[in-house]
Amino acid sequence: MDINAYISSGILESYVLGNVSAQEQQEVECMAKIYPEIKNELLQLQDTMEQYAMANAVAPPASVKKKIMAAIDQVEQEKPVSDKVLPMEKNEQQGKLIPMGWKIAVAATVLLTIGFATLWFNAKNSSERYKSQMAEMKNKQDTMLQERSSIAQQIQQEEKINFLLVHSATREINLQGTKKSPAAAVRVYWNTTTEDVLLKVDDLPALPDNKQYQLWAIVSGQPVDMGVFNLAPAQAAVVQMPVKVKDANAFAITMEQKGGSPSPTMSAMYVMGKI
Amino acid sequence: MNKVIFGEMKNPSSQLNAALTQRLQNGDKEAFEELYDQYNAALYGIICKIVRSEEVSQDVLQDAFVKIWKHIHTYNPTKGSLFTWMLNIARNTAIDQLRKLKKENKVDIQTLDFNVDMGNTTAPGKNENTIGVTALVQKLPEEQKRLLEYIYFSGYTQKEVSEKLDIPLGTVKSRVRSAIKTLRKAFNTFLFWI
Repeated sequence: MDINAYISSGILESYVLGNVSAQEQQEVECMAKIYPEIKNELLQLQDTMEQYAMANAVAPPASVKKKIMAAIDQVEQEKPVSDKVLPMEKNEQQGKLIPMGWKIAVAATVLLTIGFATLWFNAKNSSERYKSQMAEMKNKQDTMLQERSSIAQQIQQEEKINFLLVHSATREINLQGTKKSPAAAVRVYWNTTTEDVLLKVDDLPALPDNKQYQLWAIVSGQPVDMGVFNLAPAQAAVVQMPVKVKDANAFAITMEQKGGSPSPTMSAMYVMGKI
Repeated sequence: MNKVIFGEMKNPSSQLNAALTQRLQNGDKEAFEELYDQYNAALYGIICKIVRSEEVSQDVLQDAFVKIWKHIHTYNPTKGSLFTWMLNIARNTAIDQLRKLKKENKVDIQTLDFNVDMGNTTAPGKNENTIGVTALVQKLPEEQKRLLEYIYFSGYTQKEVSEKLDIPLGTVKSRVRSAIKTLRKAFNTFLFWI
């Protein structure tokens, strides 16, 4: 930036003489802020024009003063709109009185627009965040409800089992190992009133992958299918069999194909107990 | 040496103006009266040069002072002195008034010739110092003074003056520049001698 070239370009004189566009005015003020030489030149030019005005001074009639003093009694000073807007306005405003309202309006509009955009953006972000949080919470809630109902079912089941185990009409039948597996032992609890059948495995050989154990009730000499079970989950717990039975004489367990067989495979009988 | 005196002359007045500005911004009407007493003749002189009618000038002076009072909060001391700010308001108000009158066909500023003596006539209330300065202003080369007044008192841009007077823009610029320079030198020398 050639400061001397700028100073001698005539723009400072134009500025001081009040013959610059709003854009040029801003430019000069900006340059004066940056370069002390330009600011100094500008102040000297202004000073010169002040003295020029003083040199051309003419006193108005004394009556004018009275009129003016009376006039300002009727005029309110225009105070800055707010402390925040004022400094910005001040910088833009010197000597240009009419566009002030416009500048304030534009500034207010810009601020409002930024404000609303920010609000909208935040609201949008929040709502999206809330939506995903809601979905997540809904999922968790569903899972918990499922867990709760399965726990409730389990508790109900256990309560029922406990109820049946201590019921006065429940009989305990010990099924003992056959020759095939002398160590095997299973207890069957059979309630003669409700006809529910419970089962507690104490010891049974491990099952091959494609096999399941099947409980049979012997009713009037005929085997009745009481349902299949896997050993592992049933091993420690008392389980309730899905089928009820009346007038059973004995219970037996055979190892069958997965899903069970219509009639027991006698060669694969592991335990048996008579009532 | 000149510069030292120049500086001494300026500082107390700018400090006074800062205090005066503060009081004006607080709505102090006594401060306004002081402001009026200090600057009315200078502003009136400029206005008279522009509108060239005593009656209209008095109205313009009133308008200008009302604007100064009303908008004192927009004055920014970092950009220049209070006086320069007031001069701009007075000039703009006068030029606006002149254009309005021209629109109403009451005055034709295109055909008006500049009377360089206008406003320099000794008026009551003028002190000896300003008379001395006036004499210095009169020493400006005629073409420079003419250009300065065209621009300063009629609100023409340098470009408009260049077109109107058929002088190259560069010449207008350099003449305006040397006119102000001459003035500055004259004022500085003058302040040195008083």
